[in-house]
Parts: sequence; C-alpha cells; structure tokens
Amino acid sequence: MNKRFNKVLIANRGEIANRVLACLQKLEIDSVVIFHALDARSPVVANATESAEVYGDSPTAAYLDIEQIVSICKSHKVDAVHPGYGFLSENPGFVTALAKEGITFIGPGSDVMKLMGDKIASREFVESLGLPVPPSVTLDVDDPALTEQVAKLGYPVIVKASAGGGGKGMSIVSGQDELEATLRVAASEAEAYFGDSRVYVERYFEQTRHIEVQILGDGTNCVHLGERECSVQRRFQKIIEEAPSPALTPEKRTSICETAVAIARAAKYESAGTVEFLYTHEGDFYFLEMNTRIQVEHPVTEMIYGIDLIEQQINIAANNAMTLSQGDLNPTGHAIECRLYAEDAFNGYLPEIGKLLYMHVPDGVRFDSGLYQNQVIGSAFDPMLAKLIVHGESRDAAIGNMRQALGELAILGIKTNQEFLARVIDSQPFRQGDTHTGMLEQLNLSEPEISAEERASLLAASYLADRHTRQRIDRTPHPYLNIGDWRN
Amino acid sequence: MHPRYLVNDESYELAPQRIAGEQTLVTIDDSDHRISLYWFDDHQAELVINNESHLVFIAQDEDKLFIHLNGRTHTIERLNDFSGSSALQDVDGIITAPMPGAVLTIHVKAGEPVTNDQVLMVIESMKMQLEIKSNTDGIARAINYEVGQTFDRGALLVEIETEETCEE
Repeated sequence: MNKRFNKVLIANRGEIANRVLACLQKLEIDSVVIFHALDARSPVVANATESAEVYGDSPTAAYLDIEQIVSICKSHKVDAVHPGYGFLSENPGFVTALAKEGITFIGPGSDVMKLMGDKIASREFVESLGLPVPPSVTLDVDDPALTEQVAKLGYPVIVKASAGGGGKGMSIVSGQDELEATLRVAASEAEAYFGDSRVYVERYFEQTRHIEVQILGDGTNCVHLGERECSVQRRFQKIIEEAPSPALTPEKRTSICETAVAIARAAKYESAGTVEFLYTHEGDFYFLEMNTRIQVEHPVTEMIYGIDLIEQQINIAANNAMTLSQGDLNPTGHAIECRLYAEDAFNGYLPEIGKLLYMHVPDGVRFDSGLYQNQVIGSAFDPMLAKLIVHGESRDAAIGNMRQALGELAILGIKTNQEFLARVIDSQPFRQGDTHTGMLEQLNLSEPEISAEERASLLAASYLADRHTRQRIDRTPHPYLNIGDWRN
Repeated sequence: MHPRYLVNDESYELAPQRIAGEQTLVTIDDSDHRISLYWFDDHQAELVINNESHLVFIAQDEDKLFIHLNGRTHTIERLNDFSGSSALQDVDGIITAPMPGAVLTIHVKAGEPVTNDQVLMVIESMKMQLEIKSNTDGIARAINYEVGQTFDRGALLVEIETEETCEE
C-alpha cells in the first residue's frame, strides 16, 4: 500500500504552480497555493483546494520568505511542500526549516542540495569519482600563480560564481589582459547576488552543446530518463529544448546517461534531478552541474517517456520505493519545447511588459502556462510566460509540429519571442541538428519584413476592427453612408 | 484627415471611399481594396481582402491593435492627435469623445440650432475638463449622453444635422 500525502503546499507561481496543481488533482491530494497580491487572480489560486497570501518587500521576496511559508504550512496543516523550480527549490535552509516542523520537502535532502548547489564542491565530488569535469582553476584573484595556471588552460576561459546558477554570474574572458578585472568584478557580483564571492575559471569550449540527463532516484535505486539537449540559449538561458539530443550516437548516449546515474547514485540522490554536461564538437563530455529540482524543460522528457515526473517526485518524497526500473523505460519519438518570453527578442532580448488581452492555443500541443485573460505582465517576475511542447514520431516530425504550432499560437497584448522562436526553428543549423550554445549569436536573426500584401491586410484588419471605425459604422446616421464618398 | 496607422514604425494612411453592403472600398498604398471583416467571436474573425480570405485574431487596447495574421503577430498603432483629427471627428456633425470620461454639463438641447465652435458639453476625464465644441453649423439632432454618464474614447456624444444633410 502506497504511503500518500493528504495535503501539499505549492511554494511557487505561474506555469509550474499550475503544473504541480494538475498533478495533485490527478493524485487526489488536497492543495494549498501561496500567492502574492499581484498573482491573486491567477487561476491556480482559484483552482487549488486552499490558498494563502504571502507578503514581502517585493513580490519575489514574498515567495522567498521561509518563515512565512513555514507558518502557512503549519496553519494549513500540510504534509509536504512542492517547491517547483527557482525561488526556494534549491535552498537547503528551507528544507531544514520544514523538517523541523515535520513537513516533507518534495525534493532531495539538504545535504545533497548543499553539495550540488556549490559548483566548486560538486566539481570536486564528481572529479573524486573519476568522472570528467572541465579543466579549471580555482585560485584566488591575488594568487601569483593564477595567470600562469589560467594560461595553461588556454583562452578563452569562462569565469563562474561558485554559488551561481540559471545563467547568472558567468562571463567569458578572451585574453589575459581581461582576466584580473573580470575576476574582481565577478567576485563582487557573486557576493552581491549570491552572498558568496567565490569564483573559479574554467576552460571555455566554443560551439559546445548543453546536454543534460534526467535522473530519478529514491536513495537506493537510481534510473535515468535519457537526455535533453538545451543548446539553444540566449544570455546563458535556454529557449528551446529537445529530447533526445540529435548529437548522440547510441554508444555516447549510454555513456553520458550512465555517467549521470553514477554521479546521482554516489550522492544517494533522492527525487528528480538533472545532471548537466558540456558536450564538445569532438564528442567529449564534461560534468557542469547537477540541478536538484524539477527543471523548466522537464516536459520534453515526459513526452517521450510517458512518465509524470512531478508524480514521481511526490511518490518518492512520500517514502515509497521507486517502482520504475531502467529496463521499463523506453522513449518513443522526439519532443521539442519552446519557452515563450515577454521580450523583444530581435532587439537585444529586452523585457516587455503589457496586458494579456487574448490567447489562442492550437490543438494537439502541450501548453504549460499560468497565463490568464487581462493579466498584467509586469517586471516583478521572470519574463517566461509559457512553454509550448510538441511531440513527433521523428525529429523532423516534431520540428514540423512545432513550426505549425508557433504559427497558430496567438498571444495578443504583449510582445513575445514567438516569432524569434519560429525563425530559430526554421534556421538551417537547427533543422540539421547542428546546435551549439553560441548559435543564436551566429545566426544573428533579424525581424522579417512585412510584405506589401501583408501590410495591406494588416491595415484593412486594423481599420475594420478598430473600435473607432466600428462605432462610426454602427452609429453613423444613414445619410453619411449614402453620400457615396464617405469623406465628403 | 484620413485614418492613419503605424506598422513597423511607419505611418500609413487609409482612404475609405464608401461602404457597399458589408464591403468597404478603401485605398491603401495608392491602390484600392475591397475589404470586409466577419467576426466569429470577440477576437476571431475572417478578413476578406480582394476576395482573399484570412483567419485573424484581433485584440485592441486603447490605440493599439494586436493582430495575428498568417502565422505572425503584429502590433499596429492608431495615430490620433487629440485635436480632433481622428477618423470619427472629421465628419461634420459627428461629435465624438477625444478621451474616455464622464459628462459634466450639457449646453444644448435636441432640436436647437448650433453654430460652428459652439460649446455643446463639458466632459471630465482624469480630473481634466474639456469643452466639446460643434464642428459645423446645423441643428442638434441627438445628445447621446446625460450628465454623469461615462463613455469611452471615440464615443459618439452629439449628432448635428448639417445643412447639407437637411437638404437631402
């Protein structure tokens, strides 16, 4: 008989809060969702069994307030908390604070979270297992041996914050003259963002792929659910992900997935996790980091494996042994996810704000979003609005489905990167599976022109749809319509 | 002045010629087009332009129109200077609201003669008062709002019969 939770609190917002709620509803578990006033009209607040407002100096601060959230957990008598991604999902202090009250954190233990959350410590851990990590230098900026050791790595190098993540706290250095200044700036930024000034220098491989392996572990057993390729990135942030990777041969796939399992197993990993690798043009791979949470891009894995990863997380957290075994896990077809951001992607990815006036989602796709009509998209939260996910029998079929979906999806009232995503999908390198983390800079896409026919159609539609015109046609007394020339 | 819209930072003028049934004849970029729009609901419509049909999604927020056409989403802005040059206000005898607001006072009754530039009503919007004046000589035929009533920008406030229309 499976152990189960009676009530779970969702410590997140937006699409992932909806996603977790849908899973809780499927499992017939009661839910509590926390929300900041800005999100009070989110459907997740209305749809959860219970809801509780959180307050803070800023909207983000509200979702990060451990004391307040733990107190809500107690007053609503929840058994467990699902953190989603971001916010408190990788905060060992949150895990400990919940444990003190006898509340289960749906995720791994705080020790493994601490280990993997520290990039320097996690690299050393993986290295100690005899598994590949990128060549790096972790000396202090004032150490006299620094320049020589970095020169040995070979430029360009990348400076990373030990406590960094999500693309923050990284900068590329192309020559020795920039090294010292970059290190100093990086250290002070790392201190400001993460409260931890430690940085390290890694060899920077150009044209590498970002390939990550989905792991599920229950502390004893550990399986992988294949890899995802997430090479299409802007500012170190993923915008298109797919599974499986078009780059891997079956042998490489086995090798990279088994490496990921070895790392997770050695860490006695419990819950869903992701081991990220850098995959070079030559076919070598190196451990980058392990994310101890559900990832934004988890749906592509779910689409090809037919497994609900959130359900697995909940089940494992309730202290049930994992029933999946590696032999049962057989992927079918190909899945692609596009992240829709409120941004001017053709113009330096500048964030956009606005009001969602209307949305049309095509049939036959998975659309994970927290959007609702008349929602004001401000600058308080991350600009990711939604995720569009498609499946196909082959990569080409999935590309075709995605291209069609990107054409049919209509999000009106706020500028998004939808068209930019369509151009990336249309590009020769993406079509050929020739993706790498620098591909967007290389493509240097610009907004396509509007043809004269399109412009005429747009002007015609604008004119006829415009409330001004409609009022005029509806309300103008007949003589004006009959005078032949409307203009006089 | 003709209605003008901003597409990709460039301004385009439309010259509506006439309405014949559901079709409007309009000049865009020096060529004439027969256009009509059939709404399925508040946002979905079929645009027919020169007998070619397109499914469109449309939403409007103030002066901005968001249009999804042929797989792409565009933002079109209606150009509109407050001085009364909008499409609606250029017709003699059609007095519309230049901004959303409420009627403060009314200075004319239906059936009364009015002269060009005569104050017809005073409206209030965001604590700003504005006189609504006649744009023609004629007879006030309809005052469509009462004191205190609110309206949107572009609302038809007063209709005036001009001599031209009286003769018809």
